[in-house]
Amino acid sequence: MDTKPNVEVLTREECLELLATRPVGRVGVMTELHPVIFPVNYVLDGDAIVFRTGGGSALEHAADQPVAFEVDDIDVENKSGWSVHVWGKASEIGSGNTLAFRSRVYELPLHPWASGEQTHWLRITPVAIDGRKVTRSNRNDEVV
Amino acid sequence: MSTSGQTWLEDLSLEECLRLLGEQSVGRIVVVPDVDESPVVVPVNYRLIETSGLRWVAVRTRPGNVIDRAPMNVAFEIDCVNLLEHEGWSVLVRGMLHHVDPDAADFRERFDPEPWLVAERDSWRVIEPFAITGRRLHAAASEWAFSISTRTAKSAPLTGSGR
Repeated sequence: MDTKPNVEVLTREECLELLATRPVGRVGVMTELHPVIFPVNYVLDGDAIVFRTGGGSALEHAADQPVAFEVDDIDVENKSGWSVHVWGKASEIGSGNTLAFRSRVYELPLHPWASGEQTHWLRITPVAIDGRKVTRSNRNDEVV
Repeated sequence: MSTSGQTWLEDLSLEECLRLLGEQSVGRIVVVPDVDESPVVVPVNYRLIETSGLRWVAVRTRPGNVIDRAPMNVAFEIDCVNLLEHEGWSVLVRGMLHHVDPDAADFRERFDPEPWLVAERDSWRVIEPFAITGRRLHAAASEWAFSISTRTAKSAPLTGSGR
């Protein structure tokens, strides 16, 4: 099929809308020597990303670090899709936060799929959000 | 959520990771452009190369972009999630990013990762892995299947969960 890709840069509003549609994203973080990236269940708190992780996991490195968060939805068959990227500092929710803040965050509808001790709550405050969308136009479609 | 069963986190064997890497064509590369800088995650088309005892993940990028300028230490990830069953798997490749000459050893003909956005993707790179790991999350037994036993038989976790 004769299709060509169109790349569209998404607005911040569009990015936030798309972020709200998915339950799983990926957190990229630097460990001592090497970057790693892991999928996580997440939920939006305004424009912030909230996720949970267990003690001893690599994502513990995320606390107080600059991290990247990515969500995408890719259609391999049609070679199209979108991705949204969030940059920010991750901070662990804990005694440094007010009780009211903690209570509100703990009430968010965040349900990790993995059972176990996901005791660390992390929140990424975005410094930047961007995204893009790749669509395909079939040249035959131009005749409407 | 469900109180009826424990999910089960399985470490994938290297063979299974390679099989999954061989099946997919889109992954995400993460680079850290500079010390203390934020990591950057970019979805990319890739191709797993297995030849002469070597295993590489090949990608093509735009000269001068963030991947092209990145330090050598990178990670690469693929995953697949089942939104209905709340299951999924992910494979993580940690390795070193190298330039490769597409015109050497028929690389272009044999190993093109065929990026969807092909324009200007003229910087050919391979990730030389030093670690390939993966995990599969198995869903908990469905609620109804164990609805009777959850109250009576408290001692019935199917498997220990990971971590």
